[in-house]
Amino acid sequence: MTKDHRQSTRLSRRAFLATLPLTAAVAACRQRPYRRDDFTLPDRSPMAILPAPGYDVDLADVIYRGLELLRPPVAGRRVFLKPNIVEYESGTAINTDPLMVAGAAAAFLKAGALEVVVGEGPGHRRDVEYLLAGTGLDEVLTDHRLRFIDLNHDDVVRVPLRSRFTGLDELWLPVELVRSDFIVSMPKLKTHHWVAMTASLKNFFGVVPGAVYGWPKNILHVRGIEQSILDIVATVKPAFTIVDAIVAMEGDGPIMGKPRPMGFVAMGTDLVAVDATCARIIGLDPLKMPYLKVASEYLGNLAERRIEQRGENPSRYATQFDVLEPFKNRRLA
Amino acid sequence: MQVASLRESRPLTGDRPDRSTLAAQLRRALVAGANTGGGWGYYPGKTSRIEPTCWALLALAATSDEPGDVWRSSADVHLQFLARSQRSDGLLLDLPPVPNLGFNGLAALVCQQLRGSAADALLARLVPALVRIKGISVKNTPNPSDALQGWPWIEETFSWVEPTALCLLALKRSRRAASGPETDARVQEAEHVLLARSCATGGWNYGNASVYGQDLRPYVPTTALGLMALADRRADPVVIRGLEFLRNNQLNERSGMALALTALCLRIHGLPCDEVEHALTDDLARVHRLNNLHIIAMVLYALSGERHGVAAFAL
Repeated sequence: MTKDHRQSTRLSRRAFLATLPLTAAVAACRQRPYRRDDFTLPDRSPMAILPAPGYDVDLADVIYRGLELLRPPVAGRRVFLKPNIVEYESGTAINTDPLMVAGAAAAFLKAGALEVVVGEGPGHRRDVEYLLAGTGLDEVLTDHRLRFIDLNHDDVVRVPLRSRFTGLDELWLPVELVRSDFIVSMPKLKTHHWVAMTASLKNFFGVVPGAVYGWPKNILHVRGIEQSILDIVATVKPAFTIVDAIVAMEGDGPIMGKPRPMGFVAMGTDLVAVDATCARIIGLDPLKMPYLKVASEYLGNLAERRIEQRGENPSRYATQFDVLEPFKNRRLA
Repeated sequence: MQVASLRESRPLTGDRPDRSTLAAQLRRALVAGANTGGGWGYYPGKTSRIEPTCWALLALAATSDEPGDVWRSSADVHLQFLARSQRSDGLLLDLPPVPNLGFNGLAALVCQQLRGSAADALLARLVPALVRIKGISVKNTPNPSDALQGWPWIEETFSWVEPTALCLLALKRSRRAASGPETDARVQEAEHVLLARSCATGGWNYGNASVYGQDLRPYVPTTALGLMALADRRADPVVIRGLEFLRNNQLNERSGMALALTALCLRIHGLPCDEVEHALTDDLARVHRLNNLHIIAMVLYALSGERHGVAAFAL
């Protein structure tokens, strides 16, 4: 099985396309690698931006108000919260703040959820206990009696992919995630050194089990990060997102960037719409971000005219994040 | 709220429970968590997997007071799980789609320690498979070490520190029984991988020591594994620097995995590990609460190090 990288020439057309940058792969596709009938874009995508100047505000109240504005169907559902827990380093803004998780759990239960569980499968560090303890999430889970699902080590089930930009037909995904009936992305808003920005969609890298695919989820990097984002989100079908942009990250994210206080929480049922809005807020053009642009063809709305703001006006928070040199051309004109 | 958890209260030294009592609790948790059909899942009630099964077998064998034949008989059902996981090419696969090579290296180490007909039969095909498999060689990158081939987590991907350390250890230990030019070459190249990827400050990150010109920071568990795999090269400056990093940071990553691997590594290198083992006992409440059987087994093996001398990883 020894393989010199240069010798990997016997690729199928589909596997070859997966090795290309997303834009080139899409341009080379005669037809999109998904069935259009499987996806329905909403006419309009409501979302809400709620002010939260710090983590010391009543976040359960903030998030509950967001739920009231958006009315997602959570009553009687088993809600799965997927925060972004990557690495622990004191004084940084790498992870979704645990108080956001606590606030979301309380808000969903108040809104009638049957159960709330929290799950993550860190793609960078496999020592999840260290991350839980260091970030303080362990304390939140204990205080709020929330069950934690270790997505790297859960039992897995084969799931056919609903889109196949990676060239893969299926992924093995954690059973507890697949059996949830209301999956919520809870990312930290950050710049990203490979895809410019990470928020609701990119957060789903963390659901791929490391014990099956290795760390840092090798197969996804080989198959293309942007392709993987699309295929995972299309398949996992998250129902909602709550973005922690109270303190975001700019510069060399998602780990080595600088904290950037922004003071808001973004919420919505359409993850593409919420991410596109977050991109615009931090000065990036979502149309210049290949995975968001392609996602807007089948996973959600990107155009501002199709996004209905029910909370604060996003322009209130508009700014320009520091980004790495390769992404400066992705800024809004 | 990026704060270290304060929930696990740190008992005063005099309040620490007796080590044998703690070990007995850990043993009970492992025995209770075993699947009746053989093997352990990562969590009680979950499907048996290679990694937790290997660590549980290792920890229970090392702390068993039963006569050898009694223990072997009770372990047989779990070894059979590993045997059932072995493919025709020699690699163990617990779940589709691909074998995890780090866990295969661990399985080889455990079988080398347990011995017996089932373990030996498994090893006979597993070790050649480990010799055969390499990570991809990536040339013409800013990191010349990218071209070196250790072991990846999964086939046809890049080599990483953890699977490379585990497979390297397994091959080094296998050379006690039999060696050959192919095994020697793999050992030599894998050592180069680890030596070349040592961080500027000593120790290891997961892969390269730097990315895009930026030095990456080392971590405790990866460093402990790297040092265990290079324990026969103690005079090498990389090993000396790595040990310095590990000793300076031995209590900085508070988790069952980090502390257990640190304690095992320090003991292998003949260095004091009392403080680390005390920290492990102080943090046991969290380990029990999270109830990851793989970590519980690691902790049990580490806390009983004095008894078994970490023989399974010793070179």
